[in-house]
Amino acid sequence: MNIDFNRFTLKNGLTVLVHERSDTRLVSVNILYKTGARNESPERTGFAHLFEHLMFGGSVNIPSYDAPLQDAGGENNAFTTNDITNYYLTLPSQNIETAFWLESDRMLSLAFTPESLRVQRRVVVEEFRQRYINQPYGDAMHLLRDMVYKKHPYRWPTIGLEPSHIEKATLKDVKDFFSRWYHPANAIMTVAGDVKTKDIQKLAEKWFGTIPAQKQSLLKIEEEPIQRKMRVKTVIRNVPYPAIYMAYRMPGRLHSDYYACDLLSDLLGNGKSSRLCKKLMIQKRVFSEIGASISGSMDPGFIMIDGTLNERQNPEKAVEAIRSIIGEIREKKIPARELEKLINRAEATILFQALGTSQIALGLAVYEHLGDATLINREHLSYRAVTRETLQEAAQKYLTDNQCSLLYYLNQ
Amino acid sequence: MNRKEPPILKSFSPDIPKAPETRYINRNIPLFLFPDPTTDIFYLGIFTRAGQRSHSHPLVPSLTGQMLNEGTAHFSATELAEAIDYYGCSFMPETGKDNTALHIYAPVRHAIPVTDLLFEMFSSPVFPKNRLDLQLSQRLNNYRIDRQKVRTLALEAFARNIFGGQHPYGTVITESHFREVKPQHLQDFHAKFYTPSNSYFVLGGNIPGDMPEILTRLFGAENISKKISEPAYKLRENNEKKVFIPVENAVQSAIRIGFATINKQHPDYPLFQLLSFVLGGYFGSRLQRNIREDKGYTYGINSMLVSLADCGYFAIVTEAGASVCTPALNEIYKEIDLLKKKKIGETELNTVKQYLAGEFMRMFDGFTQNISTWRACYDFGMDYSYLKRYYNTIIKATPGQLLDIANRYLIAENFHEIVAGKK
Repeated sequence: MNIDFNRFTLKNGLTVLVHERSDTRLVSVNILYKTGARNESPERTGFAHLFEHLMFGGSVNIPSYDAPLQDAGGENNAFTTNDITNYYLTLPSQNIETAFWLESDRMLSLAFTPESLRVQRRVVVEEFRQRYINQPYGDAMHLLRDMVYKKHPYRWPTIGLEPSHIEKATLKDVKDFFSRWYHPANAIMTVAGDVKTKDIQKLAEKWFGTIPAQKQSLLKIEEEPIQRKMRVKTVIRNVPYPAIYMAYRMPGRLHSDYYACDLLSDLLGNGKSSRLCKKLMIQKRVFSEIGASISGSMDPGFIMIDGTLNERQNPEKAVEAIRSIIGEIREKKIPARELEKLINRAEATILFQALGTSQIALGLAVYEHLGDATLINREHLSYRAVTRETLQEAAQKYLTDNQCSLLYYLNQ
Repeated sequence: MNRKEPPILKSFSPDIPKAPETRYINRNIPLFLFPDPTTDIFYLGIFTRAGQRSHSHPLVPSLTGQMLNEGTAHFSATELAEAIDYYGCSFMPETGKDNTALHIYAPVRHAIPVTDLLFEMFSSPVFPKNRLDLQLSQRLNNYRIDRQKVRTLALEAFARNIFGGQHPYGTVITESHFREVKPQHLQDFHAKFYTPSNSYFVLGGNIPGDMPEILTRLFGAENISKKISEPAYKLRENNEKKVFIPVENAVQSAIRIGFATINKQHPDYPLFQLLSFVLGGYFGSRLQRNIREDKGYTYGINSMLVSLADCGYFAIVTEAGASVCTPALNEIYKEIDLLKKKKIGETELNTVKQYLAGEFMRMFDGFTQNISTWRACYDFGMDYSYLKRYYNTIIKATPGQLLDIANRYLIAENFHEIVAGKK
């Protein structure tokens, strides 16, 4: 892959990356704030995400964000994770300055109206209901995270621990959060599309250059204590089938073992030929669905295996079956062709994630936040470098009982 | 520099292309090309007129598509799964109301083996009984989980109400349907509908130069078959237009309001869709501004005008807090009435037009978007000239035209109202 880009930093600390393309007449702009659910305190969870909503309630000089962007032919959206908050928009390149005007104003200051807070609190509570409370298995991740993390803010999901935290948010909380985390040095902006770097530099200086610099606020995250033995929990819910969730601790995004752990999750449960799917869903019908994934966080995360059981299947026996398959991977190196398969799939995923200016702008922002934007062209090499030996070593190191949290999510 | 002043907006207009690069497999079967040499992703799509509409049983069409990779003349399901995964390939069959789409994405260095695999799956699936049993069992589980969701209950009640239970668009799936399906049903459906002459082909991304010839060699070998006769199903809406499905302990109620109507082949479609857009098609729309942003009753509310082969449908969709379900309903009807009584202001109309002009540009940005945009025309027997007419109509649209469309189509007696949850 060969995504070229230019990089510059304003005096106030805002980093800007530009990827020029001649095969489009659009431009995608992406602003990543290095703040997410990790920046919340345990009594005020769901706040970074609520704040993302408030960013659309008007900024200090511009009463509405969406309408002027629509007038410019632009479209936008945003998302929040445990680590970052991301705002992205795509518009005809002729109107790029509108994007700079809008984004710089809301980095400068929000309007902070009580009305906006009142409404967005209600909207976010409805989101909580729609996506987590009103859905079967909707609270599984809340429960699992709470088992994996005792101190770290990853203990709660981005939506927050409970609706009441959101309902209790005050205007002062909002202003404090903004002033602490929403400033140029805590942001990365990327621009991809029908633009020239020198023009972007001029626009960045004009609109963002006047935003005052602010010192980085230090986030003190309590160190997560070492897990020394398996954690098990059982809950009973009104769902048609029991489900199993297992989390195995793994290192964070920048650790050298990250890639092997990612491939381990694919080996276990990504695709119809993966080991858990093949053995426990197709050959033996223990699970009607089963899969594995990773949390993908910057700080240490987890490999997750989750599955829905078929009728009359014993949950404990099902877990034994999973552990037995994990045992095989720990004991015996996988065949070369199976490793090649995993690497091919990882490479294909990376290629797919670089399709289109919006995806490229996001990729550049994320990799820059990880410390090196050139990873967008190089990360596939780290997957290719994983060997049968390093994969087995990672299984032995990370897929152990004393690093596991196991949630039995049972029906009546 | 004055931050209160917006930068001057520059005019832009979408470049609607003339037509995609078109070739033919065996003289009659179209192959459309959407090249992008800057990527290493290869894409091949086969689009076959084999949707839900083509069979009275609600599970047969989608199961046929889903089971193409569950065993073929030369490969077992396991071998196919291994091969697809090994090549870093993503194989996704999608059966919709009118068509089945088979999508293949893979790194271009594997383009030839994955094309061979797709040919194998398209032309000689064997539908093994044990694999069918597995599919049915998984589907039944998902079906039961789904029925706990208010959104599912409202969606299926709405389809049954506006299309009627006699038309495949409106058939509601029940547990007995799962017991009825046999391999022979899928075999027959496949034999009848899955032919190259009942399909069209799309290549996209990084396309190896000899791909068109390879496709001709693989898919062009059959004789041209005669036109497939399809049974005609009757569309008949339910007389009882208001349906309430109580769901105990629901914290949200799913609402679906709408009716069957014209599709995109009708000259009124562009303006009707523009009206739907104003009402609830984007973030600044009437319904979003009122019911989400002003009152906070919901996380999202949309209105849509959808085109199908036999008709179209208009729908307003939301999940509202259960305690505010009735107020939400009242506000929806208020907004509909407002569209019929008061002409839209020029400022609002202009914002919508500008936003849609931007959307027209995004519709042609990148090969995956281009393919979707093309399919939306071609599936209805049209080409990009449809989009040119469409664009010109909406750019020139007047408040008077929208008021007229609102009064001709948004007729109160025609609305079906489905609520699942609490009222």
